[in-house]
Amino acid sequence: MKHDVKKLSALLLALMLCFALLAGCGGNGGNNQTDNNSNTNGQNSGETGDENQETSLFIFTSNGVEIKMNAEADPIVEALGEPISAFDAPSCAFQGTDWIYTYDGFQINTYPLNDVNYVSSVVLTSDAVSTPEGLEIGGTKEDMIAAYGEDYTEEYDQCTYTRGDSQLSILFEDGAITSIEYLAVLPQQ
Amino acid sequence: MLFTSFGFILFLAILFPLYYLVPKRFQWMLLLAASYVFYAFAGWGCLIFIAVTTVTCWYASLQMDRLQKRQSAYLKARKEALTSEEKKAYKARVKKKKLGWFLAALLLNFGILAVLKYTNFAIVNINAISALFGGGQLQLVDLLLPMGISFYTFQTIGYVIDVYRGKYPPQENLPRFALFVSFFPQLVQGPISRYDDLAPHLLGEHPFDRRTVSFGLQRILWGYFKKMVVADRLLTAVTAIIGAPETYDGIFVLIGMFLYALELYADFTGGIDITIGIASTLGVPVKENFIRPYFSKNIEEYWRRWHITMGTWFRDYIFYPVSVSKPMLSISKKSRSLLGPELGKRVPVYLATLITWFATGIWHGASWNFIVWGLLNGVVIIISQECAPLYHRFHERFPRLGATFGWRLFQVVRTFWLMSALRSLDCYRDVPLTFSMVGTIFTRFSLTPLFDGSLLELGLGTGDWIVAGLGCLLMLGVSLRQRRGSVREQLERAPAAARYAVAFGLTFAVLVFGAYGVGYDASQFIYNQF
Amino acid sequence: MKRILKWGGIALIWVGAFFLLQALLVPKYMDGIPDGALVREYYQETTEHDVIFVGDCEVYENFSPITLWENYGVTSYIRGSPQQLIWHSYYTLKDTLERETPKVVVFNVLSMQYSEPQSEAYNRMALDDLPLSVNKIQAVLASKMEDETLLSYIFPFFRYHSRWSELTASDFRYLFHQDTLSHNGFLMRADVRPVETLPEPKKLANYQFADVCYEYLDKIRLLCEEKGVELILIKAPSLYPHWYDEWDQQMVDYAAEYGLTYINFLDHIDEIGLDFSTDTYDQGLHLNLSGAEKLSDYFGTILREAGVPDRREDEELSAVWAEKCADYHAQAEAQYAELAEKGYLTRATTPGSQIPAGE
Repeated sequence: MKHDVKKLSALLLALMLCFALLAGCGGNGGNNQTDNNSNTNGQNSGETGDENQETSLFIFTSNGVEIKMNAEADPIVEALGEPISAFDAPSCAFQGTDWIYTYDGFQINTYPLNDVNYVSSVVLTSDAVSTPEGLEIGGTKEDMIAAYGEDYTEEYDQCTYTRGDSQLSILFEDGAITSIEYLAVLPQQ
Repeated sequence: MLFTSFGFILFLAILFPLYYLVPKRFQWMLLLAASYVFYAFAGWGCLIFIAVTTVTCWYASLQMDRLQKRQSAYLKARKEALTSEEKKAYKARVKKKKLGWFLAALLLNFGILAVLKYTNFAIVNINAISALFGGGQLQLVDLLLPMGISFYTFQTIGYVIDVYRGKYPPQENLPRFALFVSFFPQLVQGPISRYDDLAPHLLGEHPFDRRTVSFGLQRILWGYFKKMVVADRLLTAVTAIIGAPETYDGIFVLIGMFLYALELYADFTGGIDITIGIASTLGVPVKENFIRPYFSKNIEEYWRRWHITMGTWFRDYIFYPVSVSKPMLSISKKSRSLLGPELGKRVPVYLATLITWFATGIWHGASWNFIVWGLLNGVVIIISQECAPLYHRFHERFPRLGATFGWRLFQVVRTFWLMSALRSLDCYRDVPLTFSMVGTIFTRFSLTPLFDGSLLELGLGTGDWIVAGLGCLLMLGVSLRQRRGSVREQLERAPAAARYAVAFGLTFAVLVFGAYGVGYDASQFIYNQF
Repeated sequence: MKRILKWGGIALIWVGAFFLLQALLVPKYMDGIPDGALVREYYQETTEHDVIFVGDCEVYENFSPITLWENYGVTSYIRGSPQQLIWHSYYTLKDTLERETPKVVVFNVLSMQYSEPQSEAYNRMALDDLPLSVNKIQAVLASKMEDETLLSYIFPFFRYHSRWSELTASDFRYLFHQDTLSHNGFLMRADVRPVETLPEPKKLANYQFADVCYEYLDKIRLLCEEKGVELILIKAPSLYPHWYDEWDQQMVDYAAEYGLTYINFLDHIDEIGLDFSTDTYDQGLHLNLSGAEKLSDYFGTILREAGVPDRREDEELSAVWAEKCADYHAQAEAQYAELAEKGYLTRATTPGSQIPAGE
């Protein structure tokens, strides 16, 4: 009797193992202990998905220079050339300095993290420039939907699209676009 | 509620006095309530899962026991009336019913675990295969993974198996059984206790015993020291190394292995110290889970000394049953006729070993890293068993070598590095990356990073390295003292001033050097996730 | 009995060690960020004040109580801290009004734009040195960021324990006693960095101040009413961050509704005589010493009109303030001398890190 029980439980456990085996076959695994803490690597395991996301971020370009949100700011400013003005706004009590670079038609804002400046936003300031998708100040809501689709949230005449760590905010006054702003979704600090 | 949170300390501070103030016969009820409160902090949703496991296993075990009792009574009453044929037929019917309950409990609870823990792993793999054929992709699902589910599921399943095997009668009282499943100190990260070890103490009455409580508190303090001063500090460096494999290759892989070995040890044994310490202050002895594992001289010994309760669980509930299972016996028969009695006898053992290690691997985590890690452990064990005659001959040639300190040290160091190398699988993102990183130890080896200040770029300053180093030395010292018996008992014999100095020193070391609060991520115990 | 004595002794030693370590580990802001010392210094005051300023850097960098004393005999103190949010201001004011009853409270309204806690470091600088009280606990609960704990405000040890590796000689030197860095809450900066350009303010979707800010503004107003103190709302003449007309209008409306005085000094720059090529040390964010003195002189008249008395006849006060004035002028002279010699202020350009950054 006892022997039989043993055999039975063995069989069962073997069954469970098969179940577990079926659960996983082929391909490369994702999460592991330490990754779980940051969860960034885990996400990379879905490689194709990641690429899609990459191409669909909101990125402003000027003279062929890409200005990605949360990207390191100094190389971008260097590539863009001398700004019309650069304004530094040190926060109180030396908690880091924000920079505002003004170019013809747009402004780049940065935030500091561990002594490096990152892009926090790009604000289009005149209709001299337009987004890579062709939207510009003075445009209409129809133009916006044609360029970016319907997947936006609206609050106080401001429509916001979010993709990955980038947002695009479009502000209307009397039906016309008065402000276009790229915003970084800030990494957790 | 993390062990290292203020909330948890407060929780204990409320529980302890209450525990010793309530009438002794209510102590277990208080523990049950406390355990569920503790678990509720992990999320109300989690409570459902642990409750389902508790109720189903309790009920199935009761049913199995009733069937067994009814069978005995029935057979006893009709001892004369029934033929042995009829008896056999009756027994078979009962056995089938019993098996039904057993299977139901097992499938349901392993099923919950499998679905919650392995669904996304399965989806990722199905997607990978599907991608090969240009097929569609499934969305990953967002599943809740209840805290400690692997631990309490295994502990409870162990109980069901034991009851099924008739090892002990089941617990009739559901709340009492619920306490065995949910006893809060060991809920998060083990040890995986056995019902017959734990339950009598859990349900017993515990008068306040100064010595046990004080020993328990000392052990908790020591656990916090290991966890917060050493482990969480080293974690920063380990994360930096394994998080940037393109920067940290070559000797950094070795450094990473070494630091991870120390970090994991401090984290896991520290957590277990806290667990056992808390249980001890409640008057409940919990089985040891580690016996100085890094002093092991070979991998088999290592696995007898590291995460012991898990190892014995897999041994008792997988390795042994698999070894004597019908398919295995037929394999054994075949292999013996094919390969001869010597090698043929070992084949099924090795097969069972690999199955057990596969299960151990996947229990650790839903990823190929862990599966490969588990299987490699099995392979190393098999190789060392196959090489046993070689060792034997070697030692016959050099009979005195085996007893020398140098040789033993060599064995210990070898085992440490072997285990550390295997463990690198649970550091890097995937299996190929792990192998290529280990490869860089040989292809891109250079000692310069040790001296050019690179170590200070891993997120730890000089002071942190010194604290971590001293902490590790202290752990080593304590381990060495342990060989002469309980360190707390040795301390008990020391002069009062020395004892208080140690207590003060450790407390303030934890408070000052501990990694907690803003500026530190309250990094969870690594084993929470299993 | 013997046992009680023994355990009592042990507990006493433990608690003593804990508080000694805590005193050692907390930042003292003696070298580095003087802004962090502001809240503490108020509690060393020996005399009362007729005017209490409440707000952020736009008060403690822009107004000089010494000038108000020297030119008008007005006794004042600035209860400000970096990026002091409106709930910080309310609880700080509440704490102040429990200690003294001034004639006028001046509140700078810049913080109306923030409806949420912004940074742990600023919380710390605003709250750490408030004396422990129910008021402080309420302040912490109102201000704390998600990952902060009340316990670590009651015992800052739990926040600053990780400073052990950053302790300097100054932590030991100022263990029990700290120098006074401000002049009645005013932080002096004599250097000049003129305004050359200002970034174009970006358009906002919503200019309406948040309800929670109005709630606290109401609380401040009611508290002043209750204590019989006149509340004056101001917007300091800092050119950046931009103060929108839409914001200004809300404050004008609020003041009108409750019969308060609201002065937007941005509208009075010429009358004050501010010259942003010489009167700011950081391109218009804050005024420097000369700017602050001009603004204070201008504001003195308004305070006088509001009935704040001249106390220069009071001998006791005069003696206390004479000492303050001497310190003030000594520091001004030292700063001007350093500027003449080096062209910059060492102190202003080399901050020491006092609050370890969260990682």
